[in-house]
Amino acid sequence: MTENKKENIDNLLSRFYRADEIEQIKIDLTEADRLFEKYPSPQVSQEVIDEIKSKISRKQRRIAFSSVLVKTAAVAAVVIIGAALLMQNIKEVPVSHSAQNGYQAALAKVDSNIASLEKEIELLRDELLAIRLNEDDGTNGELADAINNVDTEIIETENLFWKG
Amino acid sequence: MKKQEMPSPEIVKDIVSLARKGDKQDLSQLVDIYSSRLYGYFYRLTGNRDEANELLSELFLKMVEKIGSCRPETFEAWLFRIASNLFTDYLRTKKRNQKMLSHIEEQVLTEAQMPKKDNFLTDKLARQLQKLEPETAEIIVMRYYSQLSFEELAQMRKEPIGTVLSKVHRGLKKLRQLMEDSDD
Repeated sequence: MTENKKENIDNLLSRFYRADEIEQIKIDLTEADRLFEKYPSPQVSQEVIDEIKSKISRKQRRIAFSSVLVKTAAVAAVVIIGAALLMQNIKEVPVSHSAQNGYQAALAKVDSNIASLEKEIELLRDELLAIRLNEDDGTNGELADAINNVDTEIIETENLFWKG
Repeated sequence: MKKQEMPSPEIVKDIVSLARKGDKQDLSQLVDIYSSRLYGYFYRLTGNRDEANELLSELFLKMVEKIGSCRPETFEAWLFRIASNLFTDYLRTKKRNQKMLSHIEEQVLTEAQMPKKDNFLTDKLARQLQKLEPETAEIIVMRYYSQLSFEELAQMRKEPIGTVLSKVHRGLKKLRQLMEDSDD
């Protein structure tokens, strides 16, 4: 079994031993090899080899299964993390500056409309109050018409107000 | 069991490269190529067929698990290093178990009740190897069965080459002496 050893034993031994020792060591090494050859170890049985091979097959299947499992878990984790990041981005998308300006301008316009309508209602109420204060019983012809006109105007203005 | 012819290092390298990719046929071939030598290694160190079978089986399963991490050109040294680690673990477990059992055995078991050690230390060489320090026996057996050079052995054991050479030489001398002195 020693012929396979790829080394120059003389060179090696000369690095550590004296010339007279080298020959004896070489004899000892050869004798040891002869001893192992004289008492060979028994051979491993074919049943053991077959059993080992079938264990290897089972192990390979287990390794393949766990590798698929790990890959699937990794893909699932990536998908979940990706989806979470996407959701977060959607929530955090800022309203663009121009859109925000347009929205604020529209609100301001509505506010000013409301204010002018409220003023008009106020004026009409004052007018109605003045008329009522000056009427005698509120039933004479012209005055009643004027009151009715103002009332109708108030109602129309209020309707306009609520319609926006 | 027919003795497997050892293929050339180039062929072994190719087989290992394919086995690393999980090729079932090539893994099977590696078992065929190395089982005889590795069984010899374990048998010589344990002196017991069942334990050698168990260690051999464990070794090849480890090989399948870890073959991706070995370089095809140093496969043999890599495989024998795993074998050596397994044997070290085996010794440790055995020592622990013996410590636990020895006290009980002394008190409870009589000679007749002692468990039969079937096929234990069946030949002279096995018996004499057991008389050496486990580390010395291991390095001698490793050198013979692995066919590694002293340089490769030194690398595997992470020891200077001179130390390995001297351990092997002293161990062999002692083994020869024990064999000569033995009555059987």
